[in-house]
Amino acid sequence: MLWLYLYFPRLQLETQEPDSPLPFGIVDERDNRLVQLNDAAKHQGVTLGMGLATAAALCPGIQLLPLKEAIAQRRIKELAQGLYDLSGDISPDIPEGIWLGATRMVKYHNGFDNYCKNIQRFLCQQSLTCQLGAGPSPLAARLLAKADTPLTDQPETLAQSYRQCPLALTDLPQSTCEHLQRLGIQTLADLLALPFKALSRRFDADLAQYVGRLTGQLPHPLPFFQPPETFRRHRELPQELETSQRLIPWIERLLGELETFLQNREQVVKRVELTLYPREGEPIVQWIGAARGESRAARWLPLVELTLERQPLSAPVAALALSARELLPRPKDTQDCLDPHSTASLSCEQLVDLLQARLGEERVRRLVVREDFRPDKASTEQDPLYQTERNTDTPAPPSLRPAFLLVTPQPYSQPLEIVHGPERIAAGWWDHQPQVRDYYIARNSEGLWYWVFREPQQTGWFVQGYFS
Amino acid sequence: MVSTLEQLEQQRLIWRGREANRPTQARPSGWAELDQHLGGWPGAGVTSIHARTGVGELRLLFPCLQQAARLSVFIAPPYSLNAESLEGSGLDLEQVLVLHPESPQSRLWAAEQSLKSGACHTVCLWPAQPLQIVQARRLQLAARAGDASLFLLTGSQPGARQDTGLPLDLCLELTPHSRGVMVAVPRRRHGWALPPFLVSMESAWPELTSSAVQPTANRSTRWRTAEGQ
Repeated sequence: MLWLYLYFPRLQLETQEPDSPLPFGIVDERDNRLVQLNDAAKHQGVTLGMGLATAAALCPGIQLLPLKEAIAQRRIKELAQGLYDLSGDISPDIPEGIWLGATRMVKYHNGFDNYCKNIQRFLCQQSLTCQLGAGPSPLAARLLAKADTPLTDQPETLAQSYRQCPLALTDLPQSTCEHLQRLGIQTLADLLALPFKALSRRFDADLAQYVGRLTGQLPHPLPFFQPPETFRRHRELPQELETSQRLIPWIERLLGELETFLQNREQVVKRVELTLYPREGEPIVQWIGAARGESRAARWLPLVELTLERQPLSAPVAALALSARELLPRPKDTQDCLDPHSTASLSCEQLVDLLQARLGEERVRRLVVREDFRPDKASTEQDPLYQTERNTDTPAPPSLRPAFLLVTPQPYSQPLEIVHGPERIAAGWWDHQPQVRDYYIARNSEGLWYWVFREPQQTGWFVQGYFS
Repeated sequence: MVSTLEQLEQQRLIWRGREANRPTQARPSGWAELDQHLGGWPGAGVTSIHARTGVGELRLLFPCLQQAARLSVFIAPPYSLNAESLEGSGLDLEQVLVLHPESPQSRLWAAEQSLKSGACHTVCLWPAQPLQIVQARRLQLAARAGDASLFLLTGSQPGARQDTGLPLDLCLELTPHSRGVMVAVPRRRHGWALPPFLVSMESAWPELTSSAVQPTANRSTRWRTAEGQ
């Protein structure tokens, strides 16, 4: 078996501060020591493992960020997803690396060198510092990656190089290392010279297991990465952004990733969720819909822009996330080439998406007839994308109805000429809003057509609608 | 150097005969008198309709909307549109969108987007304020691009006509009449202004004409025809 290990020594730093010219460092808050540094900080003489006070004295301008495993974890999962295009058998090693089972992939990529080149090209695009190591077992690959030895797939060379590694590079606990050093065991070669059975007798089980897995004598089961069924990307912004204009490039990048994700699966999505995280307070969640389902970033971007334009940011944004949950198979292109309107730039659904993104969902409506005798209840509005099964046997309206309805009837005291009526509507007794009204079609003195009503035993006329 | 002719042309003071050959395809309005006088509604163009609410301004449009295979969009109607009435007039409610934009600007934006999308047959817009020439021109171009007709409905509040000088394809003024609607055409593209003529609605809406004698009998025939379409 051949394994490849990708070791990311500055993963969190390069995720949060991709290319900052300022000196930056990541601090492990448990012991206040620097665990990751960028080049600017190294030039100032700061080294890994240094305490905070020393670092601050050497480089007063150093910017420090706390170590957060969640950031590394999220990035590693994203990297695993990206690597899935190149390689199978991916096992994330949170928080600093990824294992790749190389045996089968070497043949697929037409040689070990090609395989490594493709992977390095991918990592280059991610602008991450990475050390690659190959080894006959997962642990050996990790060891060689950390030791940064030249890549090769020759088993003898590999076995030789990992034997020369000092014990400090292994994953053995410090106490075990010191114990071994007191016995005169300095490198792995010294340790491996001992018979395996003697190891388990003289030392604890963990050491024996480590050595067994390193040499391949014991099996080392790894959980393999399964690409998620849904899309979610999270980005911490290097600085807080106050206007949506400045957010757009970040969103565009995420939409590009979404497009790749969906195209690899021949899928589309009808709704994406954009979450903006302010430094403090509740995150703002925006839903952006495309009724027909869409995968292209170029189609999503204007919808996102319009949605953001509608709601200006209330607080500076420190991070953002884009997710898409309900993935659907890509629909077949069904365009009628004889239909003169098929060249239309937008379909009905796309127009609704566009209008809803800018005006707001509740301001784009479709009319629906409900079964109710009360005119104001019979006519309602609903979301145009909400599918209702068409009720074919809705009875036709009992009588002529006006095109415009007044939501609250207006009292009317001018002279009216009754042309038609009355039509009595007595309804609402079933939902405790009983009303009895006599409706008339009437003309006012100017000849305009009104729909008016009067309640029995009451005086006064009310206008309910206009026959526009 | 700009010649006088070009100057005049830019100010739209010259009417060229050959333009008359390429007006956009007119759409049958469904009203015999209107088709006779105007040849139908301008197919892909802007029509302004100046009328008080309740004259019958929407009823005048319904026969045209009935034939639409694409969307009919109503932008910022002054009152709620009645689904029962639209359905009763033969419109397919699945093909009707009602928009309630917040600002006057977004009304125009929505109208332009709907017109040029190509997904709309007709857009009815109630503008918040008189259009400027640039805005009217943009809407006209959008209507041409998307092969859609735009109806600007103005004058629901009494006031002076707002569209003098705008590049519109047709301007109508509606006044009530006991047998239907009186239509005056103060301005139109490629033609002269017309004296008012009557569009009779006696057969379509017998209840809404004062000469109705037997409304119940007439009504049943109306519903039958609506269902037959």
